Order: sequence, then structure tokens, then C-alpha cells
Amino acid sequence: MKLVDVRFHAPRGLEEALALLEGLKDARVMAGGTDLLVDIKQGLREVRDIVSLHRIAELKGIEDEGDRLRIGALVTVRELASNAAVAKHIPALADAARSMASEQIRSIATIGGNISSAVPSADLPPPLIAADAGVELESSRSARRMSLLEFFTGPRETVCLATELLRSVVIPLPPPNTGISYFRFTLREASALAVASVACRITLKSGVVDRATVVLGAVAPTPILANKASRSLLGKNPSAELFREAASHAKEEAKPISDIRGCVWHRKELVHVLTQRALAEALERALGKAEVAE
Amino acid sequence: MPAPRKKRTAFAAIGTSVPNVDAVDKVTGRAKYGADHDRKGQLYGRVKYSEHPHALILSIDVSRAVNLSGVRAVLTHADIPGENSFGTAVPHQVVLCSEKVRYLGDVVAIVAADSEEIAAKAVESITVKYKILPVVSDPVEALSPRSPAVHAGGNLCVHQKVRKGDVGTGFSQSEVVLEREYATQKVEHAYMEPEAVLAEPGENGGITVTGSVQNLYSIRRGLARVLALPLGRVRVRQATLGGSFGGKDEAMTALCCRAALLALKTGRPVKMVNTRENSMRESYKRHPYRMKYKVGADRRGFLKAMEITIHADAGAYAAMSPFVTWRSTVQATGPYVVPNVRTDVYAAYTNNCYTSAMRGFGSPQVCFGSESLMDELAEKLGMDPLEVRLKNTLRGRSTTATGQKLNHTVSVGEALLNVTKKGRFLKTRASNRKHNERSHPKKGVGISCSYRGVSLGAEGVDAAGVTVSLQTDGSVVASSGLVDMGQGAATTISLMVAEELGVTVDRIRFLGADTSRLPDSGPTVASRTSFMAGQAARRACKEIVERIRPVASEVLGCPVDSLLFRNNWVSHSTERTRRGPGSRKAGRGRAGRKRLRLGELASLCFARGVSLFAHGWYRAPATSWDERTGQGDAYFTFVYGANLAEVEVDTETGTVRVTRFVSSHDVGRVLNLNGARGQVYGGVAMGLGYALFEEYAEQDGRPSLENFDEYLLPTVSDVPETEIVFIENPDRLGPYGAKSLGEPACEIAAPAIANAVCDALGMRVRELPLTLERVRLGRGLSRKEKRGSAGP
Ligand SMILES: Cc1cc2nc3c(=O)[nH]c(=O)nc-3n(C[C@H](O)[C@H](O)[C@H](O)COP(=O)(O)OP(=O)(O)OC[C@H]3O[C@@H](n4cnc5c(N)ncnc54)[C@H](O)[C@@H]3O)c2cc1C
Repeated sequence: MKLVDVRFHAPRGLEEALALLEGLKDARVMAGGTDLLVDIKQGLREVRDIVSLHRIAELKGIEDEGDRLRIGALVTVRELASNAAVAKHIPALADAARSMASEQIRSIATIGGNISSAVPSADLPPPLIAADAGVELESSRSARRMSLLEFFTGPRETVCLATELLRSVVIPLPPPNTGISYFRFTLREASALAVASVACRITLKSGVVDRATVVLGAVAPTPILANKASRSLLGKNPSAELFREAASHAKEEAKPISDIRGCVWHRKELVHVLTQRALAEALERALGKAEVAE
Repeated sequence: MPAPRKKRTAFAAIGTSVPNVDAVDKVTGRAKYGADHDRKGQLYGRVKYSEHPHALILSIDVSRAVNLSGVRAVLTHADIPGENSFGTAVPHQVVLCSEKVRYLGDVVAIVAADSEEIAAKAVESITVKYKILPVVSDPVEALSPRSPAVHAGGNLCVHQKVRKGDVGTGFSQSEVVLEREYATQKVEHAYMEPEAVLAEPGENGGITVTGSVQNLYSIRRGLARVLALPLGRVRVRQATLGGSFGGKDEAMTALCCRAALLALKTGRPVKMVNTRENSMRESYKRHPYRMKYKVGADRRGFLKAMEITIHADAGAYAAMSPFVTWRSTVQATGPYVVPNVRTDVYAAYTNNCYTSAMRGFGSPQVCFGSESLMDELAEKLGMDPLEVRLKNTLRGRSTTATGQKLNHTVSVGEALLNVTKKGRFLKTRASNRKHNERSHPKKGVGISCSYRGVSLGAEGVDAAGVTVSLQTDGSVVASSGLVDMGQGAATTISLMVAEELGVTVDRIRFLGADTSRLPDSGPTVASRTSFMAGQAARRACKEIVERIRPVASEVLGCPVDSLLFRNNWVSHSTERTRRGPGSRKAGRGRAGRKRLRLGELASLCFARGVSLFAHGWYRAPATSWDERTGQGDAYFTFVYGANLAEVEVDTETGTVRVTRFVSSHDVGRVLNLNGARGQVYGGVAMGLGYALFEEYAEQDGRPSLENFDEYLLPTVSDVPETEIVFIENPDRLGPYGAKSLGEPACEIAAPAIANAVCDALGMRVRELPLTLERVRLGRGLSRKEKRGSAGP
């Protein structure tokens, strides 16, 4: 494959990038390129113009804004995996980042790309959704924000318009006694996509579950909330029994398909197992037992 | 038991640990692989693949392709000057299909154009009309008389057999009889470098091809046949190979023939480089086997009889199937004394991707079969897996399944004891049992062992040549008809040259192979290179030494038999052995010199007209085979090995982690410790992929995957550290006693892992790979696979 007929644009700032996107028809945005270039090679995308974001300083960096973290779209997966603020406040996001791909890919793959490509097996969205993350979109004419859950509309489909950029991801700092966890299952240790994944969040209040979120990845067209599973936890004393029950709901709520990585049966089994493990870890973190990594 | 490592003071270079001689070139990008060769004015070749696994060709329309600007040639079967097929065993593999396509990797037309993009466009514009035929996809059904025929002569590619004693009698003497079926999957070599070739028309009307070729001489024969050229005008040169594992033979012959046809037609160099997708689609794989084992033993655990029936899927063409299945037939019982044996191996044509040589060459399948069987037998007898093996292993003077009496040190028992001692097999097994009663994940430990015939055996002509040229400055140029494909042959052969000539390895330059400059040495397969090329190299060196010794003796004034060649010097050894340990205090010669640089000696010899060049030729000792009875001295010698694996199995998800691995092999003699270890590490990694991940799945002749995102190879994170115990029982025939290692290192890794997994599960899984579903359910789930519909 050669990108002979493609025009490559490298705007120096956000404004210039947005103006380019406004002016060009069918331009593709490129961050790390780890998804985009594969798509182009496989002929999934016809491309005439590539607008690369790599020079845009406004999209870089992780900001601790007191009550929330703001993560620029160009922050790499490697930075997420090693950032102190992320490790302190949302260790599950660091876990997800560390579990992804390989060192080489993590060093160029970005959070914005991982979210925007909207692949059902992507690793960062489930823990982000469990953490109530929102996204900020911007075009040269307007800016909007929404919850990350609303951002996805289908496999490889989002609300993001061709003239818009995902600018940043905003995560409210979790309240006290909250634990978030992420578990995924892959066919080999490294450099493999999730066959099924589960992110859980538990907030405790006087020993009972006050808030709970169970997010499932790779088992539906988009990351989904397992609402029944989440509700079944509310107001209860956490226990292995309770988690098993919630996991059974999650298994019912998963809507996987069979593909080369796994069949419906196996994916549902995995949701059942992973939900229990993820809930147990979320609980441990909520109780403050788990040591924060790094 | 003998110490695993013997003293090696007798050698200067042999047995040391040196980095590969080509390592620096490879890591600095200086090495030129197949795709790195370019010529001015070259064209780019592309193939038009068959669109159906099985169909008759009604018409081929290339008119639109021909008219595209930048297209220089579009060729079909009608443009072939010679035969339209090649093949070592059965010359029926088609270069450009004329009447029929037999698998999706068959090629109907080829294009040469100014750029890859134009060539790709041209290929798309070729239209072929087909009459679709029913697809033959199952090797057992293929042999039913009702099956459609892939080839005119029917679907039986080959039937190999062994008959020893009488299995009926054997089973009647048995108190325990087990019948089991095992299956292995189709796997891809997965060499890092996809096939690449540059074909250049020669000044003499001939052709030169340079590329990623493993077996130069079979490829040259194919080229000569297809191009109707004498062998002397076909030159095949080997580029640095980015891995092969048996995979760059027929697949490369096809590519070379196509590039050469285009080059001769256009009069210009033509380059063809496979994409990974093309390579996966077209290049041959390892045979999937379906194996029925019936075994009988008495109550004490001694084997009485084995009856084995195997069906191998040969795919669309014979390629090496007759030879691969022959080795399976010889080794199918495993390394055990079995008085009565009846083995039948059938290879059948289907419309699946064809299968041929791959590291192990018919052994990984039967190793999985026989080693699973021994564990099952042990359980049935109430013995442990080690006990039942040790009772039955081959020993010195034992007779193999083919009636061959082993007259060398047989060390399969020694290898088993090595790995079980290091891995504390029985203790670990017992403590795992306790652990598994209450804890999770489940733990298991498993062992495996094998014997393996060295080199080609009775399956083919077995001889090889090496040339050695001593330069007047004492440096050396060596080249070999057996090639380096990443396995380290260049280094091993250099070490042997260093040993014989008394030069240091850095003074030796090992050249890539070239059919016009070296004699046909047969294929670089069957773990035969160190052995065969090694012996040839030694002969060449010995010849040179014989010629230059008289000159040295004259200059140093000492008898020829007291000369010591070492470290680029020739000296007068005070000890009267040429091979004595490095003696520094050489006596002063008559001419007043006590030692001489090898370069000086070479210059003196050159000035006197003494030849400093020699060609060494080595023919393997005799083997024998009776086709009718399936009996004979199949191989001139054998190697032995054993593996041990420990695993953890998450029975809730099906994940298997290999946590420890111990490997012991009798290699005769370690030539290069670094290289030997590399063979074992790589072999274990490859065997682990075979056990747990890899499967080239096909449905009705169509592959379910096309690249490494879905064909899962193990990564470094999946492979445990491997502990190695080498055994050195020098072989009477091998160079310095060396035998072989490349394939043995790979063939028994999967059965050790499988036995460990089954130990952890307390349940037998009889199919590879041990996918999650098989580990959880004991069987695979059938499903319609949709490519990438849940993820990218
Ligand atoms: C070998 C390999 C292994 C992988 N393993 C994993 C894994 O384990 N887990 C996983 O989740 N993913 C994995 N991936 C997929 C990929 O690496 C990640 O999804 C990565 O985060 C994508 O980021 P990127 O910056 O490379 O995106 P790009 O490829 O640059 O972009 C991806 C898509 O998002 C769009 N886009 C990018 N940035 C923006 C923006 N700011 N605004 C709007 N649109 C934007 C692009 O137009 C494109 O459509 C793997 C990929 C490879 C090649």
C-alpha cells in the first residue's frame, strides 16, 4: 500500500485545523494513525486528505483542575499509563491503558483516536464511562459537550461530524469511597484486542452500595451500560453472592456476536466471570484497600 | 547417568558461544533481504488469484489489462515456453492455471507494470469466467469414491505404511487396550519476511533470480522446467532470508517462475513481493492430521502393539506430502519399543491451501498423538506418565518400529530424567493435585519425549558440498550449498572452518548461496545442515591443510604432524598432537622461526602454486527402505529429547499460561552454545503457538483469516523462560559428534503443554490448539466466523 494520492496536512494550531476541516471535503483526521492507517490499508476508507493533529499543542497534556481531570485528545496511551494524576484518581484508566496493544503502539496511539474510532473492543471507553467521563467537541463554528456514552452511536460510528474534532475528555474526580476497575479478556497476553471487557464502579455509603455502574465492552455494537446489573447492586451489602447475581444480569444484557475471536457463548461466559472479578476489585478500591499503582 | 556437559578442551572453536556472524548486519539494516534487491528499470509483478477454491476456467479476458498505460506484459498459461507445472515428488503444481483452479491461492494470470499500483489495477481488470465445482474440504471424505476429484488421478496423494510383527497377536497379549483419536490443526510458518524475488534476464538468454529462497536447487529445477532452459542458464541466488521454517520452497518456486516469465517476456528485471495477505493465502502450511491410535499393553505397562491410522490434508498439490508423511510413518509410535506395529498414513488432495514442509516435517502431529496416548495409557494403568515412558523407551540395541537396530547411545531415557529432575515432576504433580482441590487457577505439569531421524533418511539423496577458499592474508571465504535462513548455519559452518583451519571466526566470510557457483546440495531441511554441510566443510578444510602443511613444516623446520594451527597462527607444537591444547611454547625451528602467521603461510603457498581452494563433498551413510513392508534402516542416526511444561489454567475463562519450561536434547555435540540455545528458545515458542493459539482455519476452502491480527502468534509475553539441559553423546558419524537440533527443539513442546493442561483440568483434550472453548468444554464450538464484525 502506498499513500501516493493523499494530501497530508499538518496544521500548527487548533484553529487552523478546524478551518481545514471546514474547507476540505472528506478529509480524515489523524492522531497516532494506528487505527486510521490500518483502515486505509484494508481499503475500509478511501482517503484524499489527511489532517494530522501532531503539531497541535492545544490538544496535548493532562490537567488536574481540582474537581476533574481534563485529558487532551492527543494524550498518548503511554502517558495515560504512567501519569501520576491518572494513577491516583482513576487507576482503572491506567490499568486499561497498560493492558493495550504493545509498547510501540501505546507510544503513539492517543486517547482521542481510541475513542473516535469507536471500535467496540476499544479499551479506554469502558473505564471512562464508568467514571462518568464527558467529551468536548469543537468545530470552527461551535463547541459542544456530552457524556461519553452518548458519543457512540454504533460500531465505528459517533456523533462527531466531519468538521469537528474531539478536543478533550473530562473526568470528574470520583467521590470518596468509590472504586473503579477494568478487566478485559484477550486471546494472548499482549498485542491483542479484547474479546470481552467489563468496567465497574462502586460507591459505598455506610457499607452499602450507593452508586454502581457496570459497563460492558466488545459485546455490543458500542460500549453499553448493564443497567439491570448496576441496579441490582444498589442499597445492598456487597458480597460474592451479590456480585454473582449482578454478573448473571450482565451476562443477559450482553449482546455479543460470534467472530473469529470468540463465539456468543464464550463472550457471555466471559462477561459473567469478568463482571464478578471487576466488581470485587472495584469494591476493594472503594474500601481503600488496593494500593494505587505507581 | 553421564554428566550433561563434557569437558571440551580438545576444541578451540567448537562448543564456544558466539553471536551469529550476520547479527550485526541484520540489526543495523545492512543485510539485504529479498525485497531489498532493486535494479534500474525494474517492473513490478502481480498475480491474478483464483476466485474459487474449485472451478473450471471457461475463459480468461486480459484485454482491458493489456491496454492500461504502464502495463508491460500480461501472461497466462498460453505464454509458458516449457511445462506449466513443477514439483519434486509429483510435478503437477500449476504455475498459471489453464483448465482448472484447485485452491484460492492458484494463479490464473500475471502482470508486469511500471509501478505496483498500475499492476494492481491491471490485475483487477482481468476477468475470468468459471464453472464452479463442488469443494473438497475434508481429507477423509476426499478419499471416498463419491468425492469429486481434485486431480485427474483421484484424491489419494500418498499412502505410507509400516508393518512390524503382527498387531493381532500383540493386542491379544494385551491386558489394557486403548483406542483414541487425536487431531492437529493447520498452521502457517509465519516467517517475518514474506516471499520476495527479483528476476533478471541474463545476457546469455538465461535468467538470474535473487530472493528469499530456502531450497535453491529445487527452485532452479522448477525454473528450468517451466522456462525450458538448461540448468546452466538458470541462476538462483539467495538473499538474506528473514525466516523460512521450511516455508520458502514450493511457494518460492511458483513466485520465481512467475517473475522469471515476466522478466523474459519484457526483457526487464521484474520484482515480485508478496503482501502478508497474499503470503497467507497462497503459501503452503503444515498438514493438519487426524489420527487414530490403538495401543495395547500388559498389566506391568509394557507395550505390546500399536495400530495407527492417519489422514493428512495435503490440500491442492502434493508438494512434500509424500516425504512429510513418510517421516510421520517412521516416527508415529514415539520413541518406544513396540513389538507389533501397523501404521498407515494417507495424504489426500482437497481444495484447501496446500501443505508441505514445516519445521518438524510430519513429527509435531504424531508427537502430539503418541505423547497424549502415553499419558492416557499411564492413567489407565494407574501409573505416572514418567514410569510408563521409562518402561518402554528405546535403548541402545533396541529395534525401532521400522525394524532398525539402534547401534548408538540412545538417550531418550536420559532426556526424560533430566527434565523431570529439573522440573521435580512427581513432586510438582502431587502438590498440584492438592492445590487444585481447593484453589484456583488450576496447575498442571506435563512431559513429552521423542526420537527423530537425522537428515533426509531413506526419503532422498543425501549429499552436500561446501567450498573453502583460504586467502593469502589468512582470511577465509566459505560458501555452502545448504543455506542460512536465520537458523545460524553461516555461524555454525564458520565455526567448523575456524576449528579446522585454526583461524578465528572474525576472519571468515560466509557467502550467500548461488546455484551457479556451488553444487546441488539438496534442500536445507530436515535439520541436516550442521551435519551435512559441517562434514563437507571439514573435508574441504582438511584438504587445504594437507596441502599447506608441508610448506609450514619446511619453514618451521618441524615434522608435519607436530604443527599446530590455532588463532591465525601456525606453530610447532611441543606436544606431538596436532590437536593438543593451545601450546604457547612452541620450539624454534631450523629456519629460526618458531611460529608463522597463517597469512604468511598462505602467501608462501600461493607463491609456490599450491591451491588454497577446496571443495568438500559429503555423502550421508547408507539407509534402506522396503516400500512393501515399511521396514528398513530409515535414518543413519537419531536424536532424542524430552520436554516438561508447567501451566496454570483459569478454568473460568479458559486461559492457559505456561509458567515453566524445561527442555533437554541430545545433540551429539554442541557446536555453538548461543545458537543451540536459540534453537531451543525459538522451538519452544513455536511449539507454544501450536499448542495454544495458532490455527489457519478454512471453511469450504476459504480461509477465515488473512493476517496476523487474527492469526495469533505467541508474543514474548506468552513465552516462559526455558531451562535447557543439553546432552552430548557424540555421534560416530557427525562432525565433532554433532547431530541435529532445529526440529527436535520444536516438535515436543506442544504435547508437553497439552499434557500439562490436561493434568490441570483432569480432563483430556485431544485436539490442538487448546483454545479457550476446548479447555473449558473439552470441545470446540462450531460457529460461522465473520471477519472482524465485533472489532476492527
Ligand atoms: C497492533 C495494534 C494493537 C492494538 N491494540 C489495541 C488494544 O489492545 N486496545 C485498543 O483499544 N486498541 C488497540 N489498537 C487500536 C488503536 O491503536 C487504538 O484504538 C488507538 O488508541 C487509536 O489512536 P490513534 O491516535 O492511533 O488513532 P488514529 O488512527 O489516528 O485515529 C483513529 C480514528 O479516530 C479519528 N480521530 C483521531 N483523533 C481524533 C480527534 N481528536 N477528533 C476526531 N477524530 C479523531 C481518526 O480520524 C480515525 O478515524 C491496536 C492497534 C494496533 C495497530
